[in-house]
Amino acid sequence: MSTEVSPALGRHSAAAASEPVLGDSGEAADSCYRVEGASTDWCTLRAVSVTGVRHRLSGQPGEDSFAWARSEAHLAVAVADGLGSVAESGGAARRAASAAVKSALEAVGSRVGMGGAAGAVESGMAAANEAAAGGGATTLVLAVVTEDGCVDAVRVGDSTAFVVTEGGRSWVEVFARPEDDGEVGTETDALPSDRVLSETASWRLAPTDVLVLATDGVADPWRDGPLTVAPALSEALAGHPGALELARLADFSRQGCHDDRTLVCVWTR
Amino acid sequence: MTTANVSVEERYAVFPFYLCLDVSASMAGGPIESVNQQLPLLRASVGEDPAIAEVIRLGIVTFSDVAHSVLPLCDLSLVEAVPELSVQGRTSYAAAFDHLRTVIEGDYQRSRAGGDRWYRPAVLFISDGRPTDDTDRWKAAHQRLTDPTWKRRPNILSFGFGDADPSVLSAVSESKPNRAFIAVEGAEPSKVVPELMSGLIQSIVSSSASVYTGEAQLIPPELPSMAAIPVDRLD
Repeated sequence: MSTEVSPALGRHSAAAASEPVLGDSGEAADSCYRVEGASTDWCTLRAVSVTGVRHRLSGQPGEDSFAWARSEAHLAVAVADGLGSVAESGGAARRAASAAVKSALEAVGSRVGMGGAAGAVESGMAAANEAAAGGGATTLVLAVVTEDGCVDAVRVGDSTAFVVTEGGRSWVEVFARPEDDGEVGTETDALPSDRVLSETASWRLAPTDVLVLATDGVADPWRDGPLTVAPALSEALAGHPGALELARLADFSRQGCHDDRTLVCVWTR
Repeated sequence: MTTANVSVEERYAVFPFYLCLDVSASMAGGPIESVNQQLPLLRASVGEDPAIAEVIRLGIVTFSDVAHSVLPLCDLSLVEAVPELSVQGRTSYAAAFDHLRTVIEGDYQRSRAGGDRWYRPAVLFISDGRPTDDTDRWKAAHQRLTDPTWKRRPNILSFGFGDADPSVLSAVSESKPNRAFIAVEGAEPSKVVPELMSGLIQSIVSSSASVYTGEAQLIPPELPSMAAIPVDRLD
């Protein structure tokens, strides 16, 4: 996919326009662009993971991942961001995201009629923590969406969730924003952990809303670009883009934004 | 659920580096010539690599009796040439630290107003001699620069050769491990300085690369002619 068709949102990044370096070897799961888009009778999912510019320029695979699992009336979605400072974190991210959605869905199934998916996301986080062991470290955001629009979410680390509302004219961040004193922090909670410190949230998604799970490669420029990135993404998501269109947009050019980027978007009918 | 805080300010993350160079009279000849030869290479290595230039901001401060900013903190891709340095005077560490304290805060405020968010700034401190100020004076200035309550306090890597004092350099880097380096015994400045400058380029390049992983680090250089100054335990 050519970066020439990806928009510049803010100051253009010359690095983003550079030709990527071909790694020593690779396979589909390591590709720069991983995209999914499909629907059920009550919800639509769009998921995209784009390898960050610096990884592309060094021929390295990205370390983000996404996963989903669904039943007739529930959809579990997750994004995970492997920590670059710890080896094998891409693998940890994949294992954690996959285990989280499967476990959450199983837990929901066993809790039908018992008060929603709140406990299910905690089960999912526990499963993710176990799966992340064995090499690497990762953040995780997990959400379970119910056919009636109820959403339960949990996260560890700095990946986050947004809800786009009012036809894309507004958006809210579900979890607490990082403190902004002008300096960029570099410490992140992660899985696996002996003591998982997670945050939870629950709300109802209107049919006109869009749920967005995002790694910090998207979330940081979303917050830092209130005049460019945020409105562009919000408006596009409110328009229910196709999968490839979302991938093009997620690959936006912006100076200093070279981290892996992953979005999972859900809207209901 | 938190609500959006729609600020009108667009923000970009950058990693500021301050090269703080001793230009006292003892640097005359080979050492300052080596520095002047290497600075254009530094400009090219950082400024002509778009991935590095986007995240690195570099300023050059010189000090002798007084300190000056010979290159204000900037995007090196926008700089065509770096200034040539000349030597004079004595070696006032206090002047260097006081100047850095003022410049870093001023640069931060200007950068923030312009939409940049900072990683903690790095100071690369290079000297070929002992401070000629009173010890109390330079230590007080150093304390102001490294005050833990000052949010913009920098991480400091210090490098010494010639008559530089290892214990002083260690103190400049707050006695933190792998932050202060001294030329090994017998190493000639004519060999040390080019190697040091080349190493600093690599440090800046490697540190900028770490930014893209999402976990920025200040990565010290590997210098065959220099050894890390050991840090002793206080108790």
